[in-house]
Amino acid sequence: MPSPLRISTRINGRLIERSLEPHLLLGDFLRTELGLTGTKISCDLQICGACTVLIDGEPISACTTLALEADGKSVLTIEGMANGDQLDPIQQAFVDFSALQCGFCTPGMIMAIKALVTRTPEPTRSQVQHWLEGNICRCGTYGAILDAVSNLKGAR
Amino acid sequence: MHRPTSLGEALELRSDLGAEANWYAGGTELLTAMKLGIYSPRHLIDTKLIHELSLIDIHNQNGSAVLSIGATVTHQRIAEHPGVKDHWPAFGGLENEIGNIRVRTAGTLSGNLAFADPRSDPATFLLALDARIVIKSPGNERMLAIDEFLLGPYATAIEPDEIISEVRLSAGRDSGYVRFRTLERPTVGVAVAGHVADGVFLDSPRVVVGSANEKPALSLAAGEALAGVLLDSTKPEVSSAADAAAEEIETIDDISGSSAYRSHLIRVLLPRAVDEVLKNATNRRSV
Repeated sequence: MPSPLRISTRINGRLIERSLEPHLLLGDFLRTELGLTGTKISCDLQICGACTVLIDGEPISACTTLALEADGKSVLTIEGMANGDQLDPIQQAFVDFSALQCGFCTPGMIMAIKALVTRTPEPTRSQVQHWLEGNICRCGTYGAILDAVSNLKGAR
Repeated sequence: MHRPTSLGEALELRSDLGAEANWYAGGTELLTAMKLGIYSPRHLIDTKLIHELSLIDIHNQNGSAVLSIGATVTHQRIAEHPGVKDHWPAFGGLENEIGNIRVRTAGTLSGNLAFADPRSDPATFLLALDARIVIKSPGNERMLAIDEFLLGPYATAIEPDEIISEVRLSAGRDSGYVRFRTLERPTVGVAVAGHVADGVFLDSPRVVVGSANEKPALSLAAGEALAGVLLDSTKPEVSSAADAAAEEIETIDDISGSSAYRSHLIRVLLPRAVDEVLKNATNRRSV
């Protein structure tokens, strides 16, 4: 059996220190160890984007990333987006533009968008489309999602 | 998991751990294979803390620009690099289309080449650009062309004690890549790279057909047919070159298409790739 590793990471601003098996996947660590089930495991193959979280602001697939990659870094998940009752502007835009139906793709979509607007505050529609190519919505809400992103207020 | 901080340390670990260890950077293919139970290395050697492998830069060699991409440089970093956008726009564009944003953020070009998927877009394109792969082992270094490095599906010429340290591209050739796909991987991709002036190929460009067989293949016949030719897909010389490529390159049958269909696609895509080269040549800033 591999020996456990100790990691120290900031998850949604909170310092977390844990011993974990080196092969533990980040998605499992977030959902099972930390109870943060907002991040969804769907295709499990990095294709659908439902598991998108940010490590130091960069979007990654939690389903195919080792938990130890978070060591010494900051992780942002959907649970870290709202500030108490105050929704993040991206979340508010999703509400305002009805950019979710079943909501399963939504955490991944929002995290991917968060990564985009942090580096490119006013992306063009085609930049958003390209960036979100790896986030699949089975309900087909893409149009409303693009409208929501186009109308973000103060998302930085 | 092992996390060496120098190349020397990494190579020593690799020698010590032998066949039970695998190099690990982005893990986009490796972790997927491990999750599927296809592959179960006991040890992973993380290369991301080795500074010299993380560099991407352009330097001048004999008056020509050379792009050096370290082994842990991700597709996203390549796509966003201003020097790549200026001097190798088609390659930057291709890197910007790999997988999805998450795969581009984590995955490395070297990892893509090391995995040797027979339908890899970068492999096809880099063969056209006559790129080199620098491989290091304890006390030794060698440089291979893409078609020396790739041996077949998921097989490369890398030895057990070796690591890819960088991929090198020279400037000077204008290039273009066109692919057709119905699934994630192309059915056929055609890359063309040559020396262009006033809209004409000054000599035989390198024409590579990818995803049609077990590894990307150079079509010497098509290259010769395009020497001195105007970069215009409507010209009969370009169609002749496309026919030459379709005849020379052996194609396979698989889920994406039959051998005959792939040969047909070569005839369709090569002229389009030539137009792409002209477009990129026109937009290029001089080095």
